[in-house]
Amino acid sequence: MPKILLVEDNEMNRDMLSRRLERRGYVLALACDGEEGVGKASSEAPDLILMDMSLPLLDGWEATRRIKAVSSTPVIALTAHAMAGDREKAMEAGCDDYDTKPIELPRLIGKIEALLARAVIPADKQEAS
Amino acid sequence: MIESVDAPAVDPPAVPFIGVPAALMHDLRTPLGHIIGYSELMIEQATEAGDDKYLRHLQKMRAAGWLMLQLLDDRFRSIRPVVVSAMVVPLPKPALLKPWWMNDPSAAVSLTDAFRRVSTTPPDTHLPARGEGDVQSWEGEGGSVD
Repeated sequence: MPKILLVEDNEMNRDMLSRRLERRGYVLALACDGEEGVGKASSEAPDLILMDMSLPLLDGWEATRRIKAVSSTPVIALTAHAMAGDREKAMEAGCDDYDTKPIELPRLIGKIEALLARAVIPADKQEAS
Repeated sequence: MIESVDAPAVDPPAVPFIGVPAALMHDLRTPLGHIIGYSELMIEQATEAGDDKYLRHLQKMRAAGWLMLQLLDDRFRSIRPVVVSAMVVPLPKPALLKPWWMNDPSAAVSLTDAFRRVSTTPPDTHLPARGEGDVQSWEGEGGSVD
């Protein structure tokens, strides 16, 4: 199954969302701040990244810029707001899509699957799933 | 003996409202997201386990969470600050900030309908129909707290 890196500083959000995604068969890697997110985007080689935008040490916008500078891994921005500026700012940082919290899981999974379908998943990962 | 003295009528201090709803919205939505998310997780687990004993209660928790989110979204939209040529038009005085349904009977009806709708909706259904429309509805407001 595809591996998703969830970058989220809020412990309850991290726990709840990772458990719900794991129940649907995704493999989860977790990061608690932007710096750790950038590091794990490289070391964990995820197929997709869910990026909270308000993060300690390095915010989600800057973390996304650094990840996108060296990788084409799709990134979905997650914010607790639903304002026009959030979406534009996330897209300018290089995010491929955007969703708001509280998460509507079927909607988020739809976005995840759409981006995974666009991305090329290495053959060895497809065989392993 | 303490004398009762009427407080002089003082207007509330003029404060800039730009960004306040955004920050408050974040502070309220985050724990609300926990309530909704964990209730949905527990609904999934109870459904799989065939545990009908708690399923109805969990569905009510979930429905109440989505309803509260809908109310928050509606309320924050209506108090969105208006900026005209760098001048902030403040909110009405606190005394005027009554719950809106007190002055609008149709709002109370719509609330009842909304709760009935979310209370009777299957657990896998999206509630309420939010998403892209919300982004546009907040267009123009300051602040970007996440």
